Amino acid sequence: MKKFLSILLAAVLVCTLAACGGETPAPSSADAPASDAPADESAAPADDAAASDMNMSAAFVTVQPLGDPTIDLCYAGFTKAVEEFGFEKTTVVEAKAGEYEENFRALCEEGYGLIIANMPELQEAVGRVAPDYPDTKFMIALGEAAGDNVISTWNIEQYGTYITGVYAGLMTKTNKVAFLGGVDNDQLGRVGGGFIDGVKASNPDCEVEVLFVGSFTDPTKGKEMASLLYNEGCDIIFQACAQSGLGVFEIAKELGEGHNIIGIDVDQNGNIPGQVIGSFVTPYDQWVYEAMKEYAEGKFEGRVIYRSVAEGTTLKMATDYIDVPQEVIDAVDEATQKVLNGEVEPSDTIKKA
Amino acid sequence: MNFDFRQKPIKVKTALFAVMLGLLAGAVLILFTGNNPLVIYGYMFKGAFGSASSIASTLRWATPLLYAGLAATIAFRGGMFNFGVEGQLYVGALAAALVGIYGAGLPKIIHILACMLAAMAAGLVWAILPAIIRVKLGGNEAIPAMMLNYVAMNLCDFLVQRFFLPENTFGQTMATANVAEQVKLAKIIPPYTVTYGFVIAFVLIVVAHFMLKYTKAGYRISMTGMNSEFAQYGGVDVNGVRVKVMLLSGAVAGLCGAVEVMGVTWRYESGFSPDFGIEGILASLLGGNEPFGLLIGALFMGAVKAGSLVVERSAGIPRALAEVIKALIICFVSARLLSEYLGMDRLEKWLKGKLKRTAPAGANQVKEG
Amino acid sequence: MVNTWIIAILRLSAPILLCAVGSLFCDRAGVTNISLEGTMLLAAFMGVFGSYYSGSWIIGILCAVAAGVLASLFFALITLKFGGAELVVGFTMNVLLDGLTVFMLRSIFKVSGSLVSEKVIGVPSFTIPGLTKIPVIGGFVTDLNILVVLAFISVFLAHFIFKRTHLGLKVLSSGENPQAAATVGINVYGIRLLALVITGVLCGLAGAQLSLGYLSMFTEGMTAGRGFIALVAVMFARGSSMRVLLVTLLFGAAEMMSNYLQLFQYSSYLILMIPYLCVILLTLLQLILEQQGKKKRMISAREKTA
Repeated sequence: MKKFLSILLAAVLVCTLAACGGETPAPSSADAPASDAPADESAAPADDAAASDMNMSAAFVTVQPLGDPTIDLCYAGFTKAVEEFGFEKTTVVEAKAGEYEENFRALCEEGYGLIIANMPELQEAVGRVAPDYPDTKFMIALGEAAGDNVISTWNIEQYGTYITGVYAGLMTKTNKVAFLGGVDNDQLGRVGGGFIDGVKASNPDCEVEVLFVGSFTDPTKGKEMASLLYNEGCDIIFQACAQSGLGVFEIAKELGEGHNIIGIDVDQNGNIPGQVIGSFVTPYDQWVYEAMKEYAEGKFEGRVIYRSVAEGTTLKMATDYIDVPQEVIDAVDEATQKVLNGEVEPSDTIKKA
Repeated sequence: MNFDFRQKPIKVKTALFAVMLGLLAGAVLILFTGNNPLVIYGYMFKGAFGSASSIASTLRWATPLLYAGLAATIAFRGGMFNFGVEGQLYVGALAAALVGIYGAGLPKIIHILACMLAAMAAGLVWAILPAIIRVKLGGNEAIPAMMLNYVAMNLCDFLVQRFFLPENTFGQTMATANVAEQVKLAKIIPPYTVTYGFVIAFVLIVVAHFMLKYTKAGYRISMTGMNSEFAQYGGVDVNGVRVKVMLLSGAVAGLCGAVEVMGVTWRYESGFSPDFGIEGILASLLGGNEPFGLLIGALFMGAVKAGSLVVERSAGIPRALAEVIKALIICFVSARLLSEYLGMDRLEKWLKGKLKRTAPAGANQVKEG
Repeated sequence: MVNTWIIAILRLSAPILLCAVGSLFCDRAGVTNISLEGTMLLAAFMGVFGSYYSGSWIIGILCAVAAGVLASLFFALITLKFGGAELVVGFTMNVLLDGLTVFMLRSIFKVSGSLVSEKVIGVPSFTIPGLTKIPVIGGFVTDLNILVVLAFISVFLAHFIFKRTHLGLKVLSSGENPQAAATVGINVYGIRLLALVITGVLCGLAGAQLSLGYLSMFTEGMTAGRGFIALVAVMFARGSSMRVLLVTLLFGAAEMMSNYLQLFQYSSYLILMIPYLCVILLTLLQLILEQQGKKKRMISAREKTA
């Protein structure tokens, strides 16, 4: 009983201390009225009056931390839009497991008008929260949730990675390439599946090693695995493992010429000039920017958008840094045409041996 | 290496002092980030208690700590170290999720109970190996249990990927489908994510308290934990108690996973637990390894977590700060001699003297120097 | 091929080895210190911190060592001086230091997850010329760095200290029977403090190897349980430095093989479990052997007295 009282006393003391010292928290809470008030500011008026009644506040919610090339890309789009359209109140939230829903609710209640959610882990939570706050708009940079106030985005990666595979198959000098994924899940399955098909299409004798780091945030392991792959004779590694990929760049730099990388999401061709032969680019920044533009102009429309090669998710060859033989460029163009015409159906999973 | 651990009672002044020191250290770190500690602690308090959503948040974060902490407490009382809570709650969560999905035809109450029992069974099974290591092989169970945590997390992800992944998802997260509607625990402050799981945990704490204090089984457990040779001499089957304590602990840990799945996430998700196992152990330590102490400890840690999330959102101070403060408080609580060293004894006497002087006339004629 | 494996094993084992030797000193001196994981992590961070701001890997290593020593001194303060329970403080320190490194990473460098920067200078590796092509031996002389070398020196040094020096004897008696040791005039408190400082230094070097030795970056939580594996190595070794070396190399091999196995298309999840399963199996093996050993001794003792 004494113990109980003592700790209770301690807790009370703590709270009293905190309460004494606490002034009303200044900026972030409640400048824009919460969503239960009838919202006429964030509803889209038919006329194009931009600023004044619009709730110009936006939140950027992510699971993978900033410093991850993919997230940084999304964030670049976010900041560009913030500047251009004059969003006054913004915040960045890194959400961990188990608190997604709570974070979204809190952001809605704090009065944010637009919430950008990055990466599919958040889609479930968005789906649960969006219906309760119809005046807050959501954009999921990669994922789907139902709702009139939600823009969902599907990225059909395998078409773009097919083209990437065609390229890799032609550029390899050892007839051995590798796919290093972050985590063994559906999305990476699409990325990898398309890649493998592409390699086999342009170079049937080429071997493709498939490895997973096990984490999107472990560059140490990424470096170990890349080292293993290069030692096995692979001369091109398509690294699709977000932050873990930073380790791959390190080892490639150390080993020098002949150890090549294909970048992911961002244009990484300039990271190690001459050794990054191309990047599979996903213009997340554009997509985020476009959604925010829509919102700022009052034209936000909840819907599902499918993105693929035609919308820019495709290979960007590092022609600025290396010499790509003309026949390779032609082959890539041909493959691109085939994809756009619907002549190829690359697999969306990595077949297990 | 000596893994004996006997919990000594925590004194009032030690606890108070530890909390103050911890907050002070935190204040220094906050100053380092260029913020005003009082303002930040104010945010924290508001984030923990300032509104319905804050209180809901505090309770929501305290709930898993109550279960995980109870698992740790039960083990500690029996003289065992269940550092494998994290792994046990993962397998429990997966079990609950699977029963929740595939048992959809059952009537509601049976279904809910089935999920929970499945989780408890899974957690119990996961605690068998550490128990055997201690009892049959005479080794220390702490580190194998920790290794099993990593094994559990990967095993669950593997099973989900191979057998239980739903069709047509983005599948970035390794997760199962959602459980049946009827199994989802009801929210007590809708629409926030605190559920009846909290109420159940509270009930369990009370039950545990009474069991440990007033039943024969509880007596045997406490004796085994405090002095196993004495207990053995007195006729207690020490090894039997140890095994049962470990298995019970594992079952409660599994239940932690179940409540999280049924209440918050509504499915098994890879990596859904932000170290609930470790936090639960910390909560137990904070509470002196007693059920009611755990209650306070878990609520305190839940409040700090809820508050730190708000602080992170509003002021950008990483929530890791809260971890540092919590851990420091526990270290200081354990450092029994700290308060003596820093002259708290003299301070206490001085304060007592002051209080006596202001007592009503006639109550105390002794003049303090 | 074998050489590549050996290089990898040496590299992967080095941090665990350094921690394990430190833990050996603590254990023999009678201190149960389970805060190695956190200490190594703090050291890894401070190593990167030092290297970033000074441009020199030497300063980086020194910062890492300083961090390790500071952490150990904190442990000493709370447990030796203020009577804290070793297990509680050790366990909690891991949480404390993990939180502290994350906090510092985000507040000082304003990034989260990882700190990767050109400003972080890693420890250079060297190769002893001429021998690299020889199988097996070549693996031991290629791509070494000073920390890996120190790791192996530390094992032999520890072995020597415990077997041949007065200091070693003092440590062993402080752990074996502190009251008797005190009677003979050994300053048990001082010895334990020294053991903790040594652990701090070694864990500091381990952390530096993690963040500066192979990579030049810091990742949150990059120790990934190595501190606990070091503890297991020491428990398994029952006081023998050579056994510590053996067990640690086995762990390094397990980690390396688990990476290789992925080439064979097994699920990455199953493979990631392997190092941890190895630890458990090793523990079981040791305990079972010990039990059988005890039984044999009991039986032979009975036979003698019969």
